[in-house]
This record gives sequence, C-alpha cells and structure tokens, in this order.
Amino acid sequence: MIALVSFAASAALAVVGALLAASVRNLLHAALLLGVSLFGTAGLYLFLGQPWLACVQVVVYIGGILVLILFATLFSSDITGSGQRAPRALWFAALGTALTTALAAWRLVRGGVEALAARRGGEPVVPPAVGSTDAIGDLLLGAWFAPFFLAGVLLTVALVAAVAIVQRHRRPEVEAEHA
Amino acid sequence: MTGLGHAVDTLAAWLAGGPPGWFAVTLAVLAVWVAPLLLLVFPVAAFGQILERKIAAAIQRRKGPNSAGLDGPLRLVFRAVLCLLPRERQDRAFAAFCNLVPVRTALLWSRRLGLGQFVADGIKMLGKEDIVPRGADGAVFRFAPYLALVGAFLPWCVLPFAQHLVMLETEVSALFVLATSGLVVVALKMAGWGSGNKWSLLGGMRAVAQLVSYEVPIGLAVGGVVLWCGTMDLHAIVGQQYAPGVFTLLGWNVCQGPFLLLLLLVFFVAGLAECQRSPFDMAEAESELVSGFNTEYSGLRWGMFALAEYTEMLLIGALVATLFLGGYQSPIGEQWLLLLPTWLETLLHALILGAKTLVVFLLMMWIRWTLPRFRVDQVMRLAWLVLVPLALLSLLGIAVTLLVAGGTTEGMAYGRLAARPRPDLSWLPWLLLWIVPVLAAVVLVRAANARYGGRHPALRRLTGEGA
Repeated sequence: MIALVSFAASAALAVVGALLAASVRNLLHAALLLGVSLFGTAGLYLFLGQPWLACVQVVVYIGGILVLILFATLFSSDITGSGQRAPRALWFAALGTALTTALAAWRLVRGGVEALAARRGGEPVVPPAVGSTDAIGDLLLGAWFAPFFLAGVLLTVALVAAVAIVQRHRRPEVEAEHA
Repeated sequence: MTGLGHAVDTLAAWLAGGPPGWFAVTLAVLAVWVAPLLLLVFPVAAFGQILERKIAAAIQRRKGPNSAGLDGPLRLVFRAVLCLLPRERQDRAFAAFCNLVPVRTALLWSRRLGLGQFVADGIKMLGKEDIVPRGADGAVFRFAPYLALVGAFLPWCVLPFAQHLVMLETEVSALFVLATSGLVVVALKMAGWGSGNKWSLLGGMRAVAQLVSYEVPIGLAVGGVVLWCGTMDLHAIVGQQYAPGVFTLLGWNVCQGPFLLLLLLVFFVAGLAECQRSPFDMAEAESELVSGFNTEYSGLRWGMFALAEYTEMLLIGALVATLFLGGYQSPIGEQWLLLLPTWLETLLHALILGAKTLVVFLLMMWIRWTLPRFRVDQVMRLAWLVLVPLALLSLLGIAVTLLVAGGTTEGMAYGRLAARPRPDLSWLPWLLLWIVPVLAAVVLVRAANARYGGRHPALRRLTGEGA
C-alpha cells in the first residue's frame, strides 16, 4: 500500500514536473519545476531499492546542477518570458527530443521483455547486491577503476584550478583596494 | 531504506486490525515519521531562542528576558483542561495549585529567568499578518519557507539517537544528510527571487554562494570520516567508535590522530557557515541588506525560516557528535551502560547525545555574540583557501594513515551492531601520528614567523589587512 502510494507520488512528480517545466513561460518557474521532476526521479530510485542512487541524484542534480541553472536563469534578460514566442527552431528541438525519447522507451521496453523472459527461465533479473554501497564501491574501485580515477582527478584539478584562476585575477585588485 | 517502511506497515496493520486502508496508513506515517520529529525538535528550537537571548545578555552584561514567567501559559492550560467548570472554580483551582510551594518556587524562577518569553514571542508571531508584496512571485514566495523547513528537518530521520532509536536505518545515511540539507539552498534562492525586492535578491544570492561554497568542505569532512570508518551508515560509524574499558572516549574518531581532529574543526566552521550564523551572516546583514532573503517575510513564514535556522544549528551539533564524538555513547564506562535495561539505556543515550549537541549549540552562540561579521570576500576566501585545502590535506593524511596502519583488526561488536573491521593502530604509531604532525606544525609556524616577522602574509591576506 505505502509502496504503491510512494510510487504513484514519485512518478506523478517526475512526469508532471517535467511536462510543466517544458510548458511554463517563466524561466525561473521552469527551472524550479525541473527540480520537482528530478526529486520525483529520486523517489523512483528509492522505490527501485537504490537509496544510494537516490541520494546521489539529489546531491548532484538538485544541490548542484539545479542551483547552477537557477544562477544562470537570473542572468537572463527576460525571466518572466512576457511577450515571447517560441522560435521555429524549437520545433526541431522538440522533434529531436521526441525521437530520442521514443528510442530510449523502445530500448527500455525491449530490455524489460528480455528480463521477463529471463526470469521465466528461472534466472534472477537483478543480482541481489547491486544496490548496496559495498557492491557499488567494489565496482567503482574494481572494474570501473580507470574512469572513476580519471573523473576524480579531473574534478580535483578543476577545483584547484578554479581557485587558482580567481586568485590570479583578484590579487592585484585586493592589494590595490587595501593599499 | 526498509526500516521506516516496515515500521509504518506494521503500525498501519495494527491500527486497522487487518490490511490497512489509506486512513490507517496516513495515521501510521504521521505517528512514525512526523510526530516524533516535531515533538523532538520544535520545543528544543523554541527553547533555543530564549537560551540565545539569555546568553547574548550574559555576554553583553545585560539581564535579558526577566519578567515573562510561565504563569500565563499555565493558566491557559488549566482553563483548557477544566473547560467544563465555571470560571470561578477554574481560577480557584489555579490559585490553589500555584500556592503549592514547589510550584510557587518554580514559577518565581521562571519569571526571574524570563522563561515564558518564547510563548509570548510565538503568540505575537502567529498573530502577525501574512504579507505577500505586490511585486512578489506569489507561489515561489509562499513555498520557499516550507522547503527550508523540509531541508532542515529531513536529515534528522537518519540520525541515531540511541541504539534502538533510529527512525530510518540505511547504509547511505551520511549521504542522505548531505542530500536533504542541500534543499535549503534552493529554498533560499526561491525566497530571494520570489520576494521581488533587491535586498532580498542580493541576500539570497549571497546566501546561495556561501552555502554552495561551504558544502565542499562539509562534504570533504564527511568523506574523511567515511574513509576512516569504511561505511556511510551513521549508526555503524557510531558503533565503530566504541572502545571497551573505562575511558570509552579514547575510541572516538576525534582521538584517532590529528587529521580527524582537523576535520572536526573544518566541519564545525563550515557547519557554522551552513547555518548562516554570525560571523557568517552576511546574507542577512542587517546593516547592509535590511534582512537579506527574509526581508519581506512576516508572521509564520518568517518564523519558519527562524525555526529552520535553529533546527540546522542543532543538526550540525548532532552531526559533530555523531561523526567525531562517539554519537550517543558515554565518554566514560559505555560498556556498563549497555548492561542497563533497554528503556533506561535508550533514555541515557538520547540524553548524552542531547548534551553533546547542546555543547556545540552553546559554542555557536558564544561565537555569534563574540565575533564581528565577515565580509563577502573574506567568507569566500575562508572556504576556498583555508577550509578546502585543510580538508584535502586531512583526507590525504587519513588515506596515508590507513596505508601505514597496514590492514585492519576486527573491531568490537557494539550492542546489536556487528563488529566492523577498524584500522589497526597499536599505541606506538598512534603516538607518532600525534607527535610528528604537531611538531612539524610548530616548526613550520616558528620558521614562518622568523621569516616574516610576526604574522604570515597568508594570514594577513585572509583578514584583508594591507600587505
């Protein structure tokens, strides 16, 4: 019962949030509704028994990407979107999105059908330990060590570089200011 | 995350006496999830306000609240309980009750300490008009305080209060705390923009820039503890800090070498900034920005932001205790506490965690009423040039320590928590670990002082003094 309610709520948040984000005129509202959709997706991950993925979804997409998008939105000249019509190029974008979504949906449905067929053969569909942090840690430091390591180094370099760049620009100013 | 769902299901089935309907499920969710949180945090946060005023007064050599006692609230309670009796009999019963010696003394002290002040403040706040400015973005403006409260309250779900008092046991609870407290960032952004006021917008931007920056050292500090303990489960982290013997506190993470002590400092300072407390309150700097992102808020919506702030302060205190100070464990003789009956053990553990939280809470207030506010650029510099490098250094130090310690020993099983492997530190390397970095730091500081005469230029840059 409670599982059904939580699934319905998460799915509704994800779908309705995404639809509204694509259709409202106000840019900031669209960004916030995107956040609602992302939150719903995190709920779906929880429902699928992947708490780690759900937490990472919230940390990365709501705590990071959404805040970045909100910042970018505030630099827009026309946040409320008053008196703006959708440019024609948008139709091509819509077509492309629809095609991609259809492809992904087809792949998903086919994967589901295959998984069902496999289960009929007595095979478990998902390995039992796949969602645990231990299993994810083993995967990240085992099979996927090289990409994980490279991404970590890249992010650390980016972190240090950001500080370094700001420092180089700021130092003369600060010294002039306080001289 | 099955613990909570299981509790809800069980309770709902018990309430309904069979397969539960939506009513039973709603009741169960309220009972398991919402009510304990509110019961726990609301009174503490409300009381935190009066505590803050008394401490501010003590530091500034004033008296603080000193007349409002608990008589009025008590009379209201009497009237509510005896509502069927006529008014004179209610008053007579109340007078008789107040004449009892212990009650009279307690009421006298409540008046002297001004303990009833928060009730009066609360009623005043509830009575205020809820104003939405004309230029405001209505929905965003109205929803922001709720989101701030959600972000402040959700992390409490996974905190272990006692061995048998964890609302939601999950192996990713440390990550859960980071994730849910991040929602406050979005809330402040919404409040800043939705108010339709330039002070609010500037305050909101400052707040978000500050929160995003300080989430980096907080995340790194939590990451260091996770690296040391080898688990993201807060309850397992608490269990791993258990050491048998009289001085249980030797097993606490803060005693495991200088790097974890450094991480504790980084976590505390960054946590202070996450709560937007002075000296990091430049987002609501009243001398520059009226009141920052909550300029336009009034009444209960303003109260929600204030409550979220106090809740977050308590949360930082509880997290400091959980990650570094042994959680709910007693500093001395924890093993004998485990022999007590379960209810007594749970009560004592919860009280111990509360005491540790209160110490951090009081420290935050002391700092607020002692230090002046940082400037914007100083806040950013402290995060990126001091806290992040320190946190990275400690992470590196912890990793090296784990390598040097060579392998792991089976840790102690603690209560119902299974034994987890813990880094093998026999006493000699443990001592070296403390002495070598401290000596190195002393030598470095002395060398720097000798070279630069007095204060190091980095320190001077940090405080913004002229070179």
